[in-house]
Amino acid sequence: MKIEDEKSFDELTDKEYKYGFVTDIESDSLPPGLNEDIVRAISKRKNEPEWLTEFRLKAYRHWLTLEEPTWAKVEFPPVDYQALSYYSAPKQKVDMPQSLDDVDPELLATYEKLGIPLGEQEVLAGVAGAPSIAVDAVFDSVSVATTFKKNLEEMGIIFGSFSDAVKDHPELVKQYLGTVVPYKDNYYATLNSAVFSDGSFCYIPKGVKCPMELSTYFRINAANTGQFERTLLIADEGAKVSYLEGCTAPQRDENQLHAAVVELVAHKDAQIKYSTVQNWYPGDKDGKGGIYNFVTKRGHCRGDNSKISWTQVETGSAITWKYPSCILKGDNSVGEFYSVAVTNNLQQADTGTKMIHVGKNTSSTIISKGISAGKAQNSYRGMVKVVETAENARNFSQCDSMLIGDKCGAHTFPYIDVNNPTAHVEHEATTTKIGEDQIFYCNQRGLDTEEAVSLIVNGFCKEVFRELPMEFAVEAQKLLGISLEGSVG
Amino acid sequence: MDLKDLRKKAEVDFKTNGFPTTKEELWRFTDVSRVAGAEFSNDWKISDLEFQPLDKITVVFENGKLSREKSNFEDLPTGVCIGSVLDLVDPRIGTLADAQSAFVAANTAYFGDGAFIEVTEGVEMDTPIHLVYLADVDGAAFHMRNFISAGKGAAVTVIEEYIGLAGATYWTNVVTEAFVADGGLVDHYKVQRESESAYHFQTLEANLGTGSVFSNHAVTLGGALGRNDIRGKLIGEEGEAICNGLYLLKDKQLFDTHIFMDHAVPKCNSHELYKGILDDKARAVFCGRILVQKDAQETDAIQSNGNLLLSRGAKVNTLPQLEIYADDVKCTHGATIGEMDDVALYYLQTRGIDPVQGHAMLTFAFANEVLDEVKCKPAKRYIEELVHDWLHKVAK
Repeated sequence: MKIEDEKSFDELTDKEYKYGFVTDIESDSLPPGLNEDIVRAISKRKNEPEWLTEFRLKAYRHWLTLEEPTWAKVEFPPVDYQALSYYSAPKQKVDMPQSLDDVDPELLATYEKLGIPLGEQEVLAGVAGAPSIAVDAVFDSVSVATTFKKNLEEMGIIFGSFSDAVKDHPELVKQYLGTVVPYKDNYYATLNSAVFSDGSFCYIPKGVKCPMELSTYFRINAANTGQFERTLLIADEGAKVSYLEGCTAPQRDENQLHAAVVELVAHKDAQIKYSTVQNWYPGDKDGKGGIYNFVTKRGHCRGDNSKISWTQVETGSAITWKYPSCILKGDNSVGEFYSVAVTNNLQQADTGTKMIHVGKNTSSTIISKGISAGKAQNSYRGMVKVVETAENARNFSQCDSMLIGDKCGAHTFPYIDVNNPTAHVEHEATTTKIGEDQIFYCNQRGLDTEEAVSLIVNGFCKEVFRELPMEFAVEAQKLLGISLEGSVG
Repeated sequence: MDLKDLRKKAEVDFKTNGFPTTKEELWRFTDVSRVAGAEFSNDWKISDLEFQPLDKITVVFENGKLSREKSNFEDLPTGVCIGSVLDLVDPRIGTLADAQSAFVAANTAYFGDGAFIEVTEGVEMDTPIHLVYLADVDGAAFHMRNFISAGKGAAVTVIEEYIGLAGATYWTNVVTEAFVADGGLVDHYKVQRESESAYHFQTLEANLGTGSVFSNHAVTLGGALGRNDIRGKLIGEEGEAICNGLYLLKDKQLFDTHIFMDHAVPKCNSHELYKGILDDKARAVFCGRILVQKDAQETDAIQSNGNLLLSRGAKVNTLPQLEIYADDVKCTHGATIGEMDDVALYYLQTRGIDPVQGHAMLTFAFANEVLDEVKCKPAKRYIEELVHDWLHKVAK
């Protein structure tokens, strides 16, 4: 593709991050730094029981023995973990918001700007027939309001902030916390286990099919605050749930660290669908600022016939280090991973999945679409492992990369380990660019080049977008357009 | 640095760094502690092993030393030079092989002999050069260094064959450096039939000039533990590299293939097709890395790795990797692992072919795809025979 006009190219690449703004709220933060006292202080502020404090301390002590992983194909200046503040909660007149009226109006305004239908009435008063979404919104580290809680409670569904779950359902949290991602798992997960601030907790009881899409919105605010979300989602026997997660962050110049942990547990016949649209601040066109997104996400198909499906659209963050995985332990369990990762300017993404086949007749599907533009580097890194006991395991992986411009990179690093002869594992990867003839065809029919690229790229990602819940699919397509703006001339 | 200094430096490097461990990414699936922990001698004796000459020209090394009696490379056309790497010197020796590798360092430091093949500009050599390496000294190490050079527009076919005495434990460590000048062609084959308890490691590196072709077919049958490190460097436009391979493994054999295809310039092609059949508790590792550098536009790179598992206990680790920094490229890779297709077997059965025969037919067909591209007829016939023999043994 030729850049026909340097000026228009510059104009396009100059486009600012559309969701960048800082909300001016006094933060009740702990001083920067990390030591056992800070860990204890976080735990104390959240009125946590002793066992959880111990869990954090164990993790912290183990973290001290670890070194930051360097194997990913990303480059960034070293993070000074002592310069970060590990706790920040919006100041409020009362300790806990009793209702929406108690919530800081500025917070609500922030969400409004982001277009989140937080208020229950607003959602209910929305377009007739529109699907209801329960939102557990996370403003920095504390959940501000939880909607639909009552509605869900009647069905026995527990959905709320992690802190509330620790208070109200300690037995459940204790039973499941760290069983999918143990505190010793990896550098960032261990750090998270020590200092996690808040997150969402969800429990779907036996046989219950969650009637609505559960959703959580993350947002990073307060300068120098690392965000350490902890999400725990359990689907008991025969339960079914679809969970949405999306995020945008305000523009700022200091790099911000985000090390979240998501644990999913699917019991017998349970199904979990976990969808993410990630649109954090990617840094400006010179690579300044932007979020470091080092996330550990893992699902455990514990029971027979269970299913976990990950769908992700990653367009933001300066650096993405993320491998949502499935451990297929139950017989006939199914793991899926659908991903679109877009990198532009100086963004770097090293993302993929792990599918560990343990049970009999387990199957997994991996569809990964990587789009790289500007000077970005986009890597797929994945593992498919079939252990000795996994009779008749099936895997199909497809990793397609698209390069836009000649300064970016697209890489594929799959690891395939097969230890059982009855396994059928297939992996395919291709790398292409947008054909000039495709653009020409669109131009002929009256589409300008940018529209044509958007159309072609959306077509390239169709297999993944198809898997997203409807509300998200629309947003994802828009995000893709915004992310690639200015990448072609 | 001349060769003498290079060898001294390599010895220091090897003694300081030692062997790689499974903690290193490039060696994570292949544990070489069996080689690292063993003591090897430099004993030499006349070999009693027999071999089958494929054509008129044979260069035979017995237990690490060139045997002029058993070899036959007297009547050579003008412009073709064959001999021992110890007698014939070329400043390019040692410049291509990756000095970082422990096995290359050990070879550079200790190589005792090897083949030197040079075909000068414009000479097209019809007769294949058959290099035979016989090994029947238990407990010995054989560091062999080969040098192949094809001048501008020159063409040469080289077949390396490694034969070992059954039951003997020894270490073969080969480095082959091939320089293919502009428009040159090197058709290279490697047949590895080492003893079932031997350790065999080879580093094969090729430099490809403008419009040149380098093709390599690696057939692996022997060795308890082995590895081929193959690196193709495409440094001239419109070069073509072909790397095909077949590994047939049984018992507790572990064989590792690492290929690194480096596209440094535009308009080059590379094709890799590797197939493996694994029986008993054999394990195969395949790591194919294609690097397309920033300016290497219009690259066409294809890589495919297929594995057939015949038994419980057989294992495969495959890592097909693409690393791409240019946008106008066509790169694909694929990997499959599976067992025999029951439906295909049933189909043959309904046509009156019994399952044992059907199994053999399908297995051979699976392997045969790799042999399709073999241009050298005597090599093809010979390899087919070896594959049939192997399948026959496995079927029993």
